[in-house]
Amino acid sequence: MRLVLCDDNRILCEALASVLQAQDHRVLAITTRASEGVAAVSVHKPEACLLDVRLPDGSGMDAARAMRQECPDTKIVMFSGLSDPAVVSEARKAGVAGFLRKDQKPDSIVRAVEAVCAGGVAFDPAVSRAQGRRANGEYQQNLLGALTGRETEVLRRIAAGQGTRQMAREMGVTISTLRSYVKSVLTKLGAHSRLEAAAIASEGQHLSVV
Amino acid sequence: MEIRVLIADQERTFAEALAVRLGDEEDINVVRAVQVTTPGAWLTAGHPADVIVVDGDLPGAAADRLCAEISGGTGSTRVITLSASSEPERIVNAIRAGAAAWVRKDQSIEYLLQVIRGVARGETWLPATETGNVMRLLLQEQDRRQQNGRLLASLTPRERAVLTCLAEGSGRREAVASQLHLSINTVRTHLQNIMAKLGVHSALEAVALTRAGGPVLGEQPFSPETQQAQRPPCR
Repeated sequence: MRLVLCDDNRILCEALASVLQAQDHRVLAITTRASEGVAAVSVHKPEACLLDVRLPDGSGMDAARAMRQECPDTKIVMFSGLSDPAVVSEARKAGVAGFLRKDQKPDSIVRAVEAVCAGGVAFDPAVSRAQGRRANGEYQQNLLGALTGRETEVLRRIAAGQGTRQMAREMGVTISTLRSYVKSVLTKLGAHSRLEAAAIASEGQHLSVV
Repeated sequence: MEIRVLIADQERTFAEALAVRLGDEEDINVVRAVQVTTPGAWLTAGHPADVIVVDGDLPGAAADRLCAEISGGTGSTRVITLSASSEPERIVNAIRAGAAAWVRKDQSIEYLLQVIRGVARGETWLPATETGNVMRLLLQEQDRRQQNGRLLASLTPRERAVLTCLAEGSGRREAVASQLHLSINTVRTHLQNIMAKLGVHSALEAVALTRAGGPVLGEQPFSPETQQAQRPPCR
């Protein structure tokens, strides 16, 4: 991955950069201010930017919006010590692909950013739980919105309790294709199992056809 | 000589990523990296460390308490406080608690490494831009302490006894009067003289002056003959 890091804690950025580089990822720039972060993203056009929520010269949220504008292909992962559901919700609206808390192992952060670069989303489980408690189900709606038509159908069938073989037969695809659909559904929803994906689907009340 | 480092921070990602990075250095051995909000000397139990790198932005001045606990102990462990801020007042508090260094989190790891190695050699490291302000604060405080000491020394033993009673919480003049076996009017007179000598406008201010930097009244130089006779019990 090619990355830009933006956090006013430079020591944290440099330490994470060394963890990332040890795993063959490239950190193109380390920035500690919102304005520098936005400039670095527009110059380097990285695959992803790890962005702190609070920065000395402005909010990370405004920076995220500016980055989306400047370089829509860059995936933005917000990074925070806290996970206020209102802030997470605002971040989702700003179009970020992930929201991680700083109480994760460094390797979990790397895995999450990798998932985002692979087209998924990465919302910290604690963040998601806090968000899930919000009654309006807005979170699940956003997650489900990221699915393609085929993936939505797979999710509907998972929720209906269908097995791999049945789904493959009824959808007219091979079993391995079907498995790859399932895998990308799980990745996008940040679910660890089909059961969890089904739970997210029902919470989102998205599947009127079930 | 290997430096044993312990990292304690409220953010696990920070503590562990820093541990990985510092571990790349040949002369540094990270003995423990822990996410914690109320660190104490217990952190070093089973993990003896030469240098502790602690989060200075923990709630309730927890880092200062750790410094005090560590520097009050018998070991030679030294503490580096990391903080997003570099307010001189906070640095002064950390130094008073026994911190060996204060490093801003927007510094580079190269700098932090210099500080870790320096502190392990017995050096003290403060942000260069704040050293002047920190020294000025300490000097001002010392001046104030001396000035207050001079003011308090100008009180008579009787006046000092009245002020001691007030400082120990006998808020009402009647209580002071009965404790010192004086009339209320006499206490009032003493208090007026005290306030005039100290240049303050209330009993509260006078008491504050004995606390803010001033030496405790009991440590005032009493002459031997007055000490026994004039310092009444006050509880």
